[in-house]
Amino acid sequence: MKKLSLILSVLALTGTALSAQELPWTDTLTAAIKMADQRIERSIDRLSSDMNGIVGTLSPLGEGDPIRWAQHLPGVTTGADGGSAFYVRGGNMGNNLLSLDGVPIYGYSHLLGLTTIIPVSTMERAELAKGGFDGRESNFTAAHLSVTTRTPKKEVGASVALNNFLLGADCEGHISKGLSFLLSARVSPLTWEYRAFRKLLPTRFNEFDNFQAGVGDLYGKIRYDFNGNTFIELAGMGSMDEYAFSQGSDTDKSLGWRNGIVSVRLQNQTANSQTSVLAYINYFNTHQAQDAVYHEAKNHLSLQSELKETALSVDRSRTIGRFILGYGIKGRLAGFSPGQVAAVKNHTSVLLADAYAQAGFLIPDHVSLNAMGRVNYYRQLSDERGRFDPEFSLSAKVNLGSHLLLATSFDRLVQYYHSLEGLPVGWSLDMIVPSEAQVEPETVLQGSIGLQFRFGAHSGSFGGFYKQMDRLVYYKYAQSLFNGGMADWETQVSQGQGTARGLEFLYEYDHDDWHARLSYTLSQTNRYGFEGINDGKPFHARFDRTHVLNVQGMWRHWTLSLILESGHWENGAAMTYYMHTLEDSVWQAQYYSEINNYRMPTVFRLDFGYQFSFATGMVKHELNLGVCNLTNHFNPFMLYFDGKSESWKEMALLPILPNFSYRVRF
Amino acid sequence: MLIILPLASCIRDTELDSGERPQVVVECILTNSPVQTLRLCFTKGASREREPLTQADARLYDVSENKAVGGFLFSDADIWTLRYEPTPGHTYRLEVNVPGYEPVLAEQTMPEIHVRAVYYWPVFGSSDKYEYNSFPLIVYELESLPDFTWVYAMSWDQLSGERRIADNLCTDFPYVDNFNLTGDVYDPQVDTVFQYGLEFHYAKYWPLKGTSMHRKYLRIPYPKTVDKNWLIVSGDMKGYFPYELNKQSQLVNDGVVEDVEEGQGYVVFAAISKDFDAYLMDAIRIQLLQESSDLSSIYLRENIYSNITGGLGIFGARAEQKMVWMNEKSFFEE
Repeated sequence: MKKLSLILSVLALTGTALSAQELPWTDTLTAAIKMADQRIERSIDRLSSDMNGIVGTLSPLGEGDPIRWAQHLPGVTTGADGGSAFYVRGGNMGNNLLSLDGVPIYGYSHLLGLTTIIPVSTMERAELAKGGFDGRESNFTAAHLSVTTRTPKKEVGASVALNNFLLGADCEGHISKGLSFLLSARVSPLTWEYRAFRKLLPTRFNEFDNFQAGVGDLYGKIRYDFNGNTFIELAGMGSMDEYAFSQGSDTDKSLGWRNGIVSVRLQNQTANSQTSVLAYINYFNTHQAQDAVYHEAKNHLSLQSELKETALSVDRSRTIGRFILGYGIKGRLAGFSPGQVAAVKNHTSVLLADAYAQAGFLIPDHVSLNAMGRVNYYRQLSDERGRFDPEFSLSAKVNLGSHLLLATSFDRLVQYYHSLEGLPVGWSLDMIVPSEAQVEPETVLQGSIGLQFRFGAHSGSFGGFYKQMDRLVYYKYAQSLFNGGMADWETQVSQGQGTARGLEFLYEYDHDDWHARLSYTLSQTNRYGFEGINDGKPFHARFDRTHVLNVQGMWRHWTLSLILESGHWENGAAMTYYMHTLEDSVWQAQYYSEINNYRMPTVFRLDFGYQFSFATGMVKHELNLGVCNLTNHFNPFMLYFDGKSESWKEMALLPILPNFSYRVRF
Repeated sequence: MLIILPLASCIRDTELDSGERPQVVVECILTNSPVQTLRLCFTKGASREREPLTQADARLYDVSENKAVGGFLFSDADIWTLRYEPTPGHTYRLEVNVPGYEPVLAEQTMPEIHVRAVYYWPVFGSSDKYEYNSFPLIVYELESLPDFTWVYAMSWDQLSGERRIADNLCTDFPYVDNFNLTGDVYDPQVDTVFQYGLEFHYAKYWPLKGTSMHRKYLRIPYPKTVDKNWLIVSGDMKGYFPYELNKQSQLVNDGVVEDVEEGQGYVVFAAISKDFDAYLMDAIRIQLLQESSDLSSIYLRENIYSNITGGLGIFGARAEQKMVWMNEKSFFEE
């Protein structure tokens, strides 16, 4: 394992990355609405932020990340409070795509969901797209959270950072004319922190002993500019999340996930056109292992899942008068090995290729229209025949005067990689499986309409959406982490439908020292038609939170953030009965009159932060201080029945948690 | 679990009671034996006492012959019995009427099973797989092909003086279900034995080396779709597994065990009806997870499959055959 992580790290450092450039035609906001310097570009379907907006989002790590930022936006609900799970417009977590410079990241969670594997220091911008998708965005059915990295600066610079759980360093600069680089490395001192806490609070950790964490990431990028219009970038990234602990004297457990990405991008951009070629290799691994004693005999369980993907894409766009035309192709070859246990390998190779064409029509200050059509070809290599699936996205924006804009979109989306979702904490342990005989591609048909406005320092949007989801994946044993039965996932997956509808509201005030943002979502999401689940009848999606309110106020260096969400849904209030199995042993079964029949308590969280910076000579210091969950509100994310005390328990992750981050720039 | 945030994860008690009316729970598995057993009970809410169910009228009907078979008689606690042996291939309907409740109904078809065992001694050195001199094997041939066959082994535990299901099993049958893998693989030990003044190296069920171990059961679905209908089985069975050969070195009575003696181990082949199979899959998965040290299993809260209309539980059917097996102990005592 160590060997593998070393290889990935080396690959990451010698690899390559992608562009931070946007196709010019994708931005159809008119000048009356768009503000170049604001932190969030507000659109009904697409929101983006620069690094200041992302880092400024309060989080348990003292500095924000793209997931924390996205969790505060309209149309987005969260999983466990404090975790990195997020759900967009009623979709599952696995229906979201997170990409780094166009390369999918399948295991983006870091530090048990506290942050992402993308170092903050390398990022330039993040964008959350919920509808009206671009032709380059494919293989997801809910949202695309795209992160773009920075172009290395010309001057040599470096920084060292420290926060609650991570130590990091990065550097950048020019090597020679046209050649520049960006490097970042982070490692977590979690094991030492655990040992220190254990000494301070020994009773708190009775259940866990010998805890060890190996958490870190490396990012590297080398860019060569041939001239002002053309560049090539090589980028690589490796991340590791490894956790091990003992339970009692005879049980040792470990779990973790790893990412390795190498990419190369060649891009040419002129005033009227852009051509981009991207190739990447992506490796994602999850693993759980357990050494335990079962009926006085030692048992070793190792569960591994892997995804290896190689892809090549070519995209081109061109502006001709008021028309913006684009087209592209992408091919990927992926090998999946989900649920490897004992002699079971479960290997499947698939080919996913697509071609798209899109067109935009723009009359500045009046109207913009966009249409995209794509054809996907998907085949398991062991099958003789593949399948073709169409996708499309239509969007329009019409100015209604100088302060108001009407926006609408309509999409059909198809997804071929599926997450078997387990614990809602955002850990990247969910198995990812390909479409095959038992699991058909997921599809979504969705539409949205809304108004965007801006009056002086006030701006925002108000709109509604409707989404019809088909062939959603449900795997009811996904929550157990150390389960050899995962090898048999195929026979236990159920597919069904879901609908989601909702209203989204975003308001921002941006004036001098003041910045305030309020986002509110009123929504309803259900699931139905799953064979063997709730008799096929409708039930609440687990994270069907009716109300989601996020308010953030910033005044000079001070930030206060409020989260108020309806509780999510759990299987609760069970009745019990006794049953027998083949050898006549008796056991207690539970019966739930409905799936997700119990609403958990409302989530309330108040976070506080203070940010300031100062310089000493050539050195700049940036310090964030804060407290997460200032009121120490109990926000449970799980229910379980404790057999010892014969009572139901609720579990919450995030108590009051002081945090800090400190960065020194040279 | 939730290892780290754990730095302070918090837990508190909560009150959870659905307040729903208790439901009638039926558990009746038809077997190829002369007495059928029915269990009846009510479900219990979180903060309530369990109510006994002693007043009921439970009857079995043979749908295939359109006639009543008889009524179950209250025996003891929650157990009701009926003297009757179902006919393979016949469909049966169970009707249970509990005062104050809607009738509880379910139907089930009785499967049949025919397994024979063959004594087989792999030829020494005939292939890579048999590079060691293997013990002789008991090979099972599934002569009838039910939708689902479940296999488990009963060992005799000398310490407790009880018969116990063997914890781990494996097979060479390629389509065995992997829902209950333990994570271990079969790694037979090689014994050196001196007989007749000669030295022999014996591997126990050598052809199974490297196959996945299954917890307690082998579930074999749909053997009709495959061309192979024979298999070998091994695992961590303990105790004495007697077998008897005739003069032609064939197993007496095709290896079927009629009368089980104290101290004797055997392997069970059970043909399982489709509904009972679905119930067992759910029940055993959850049971195994509850037995395991996987803390995340406490979050697993799902309903168990039920085919009962108007209530909960299972009306299933199984036909089983006890078969001989062989380990080194029985081999050398033969």
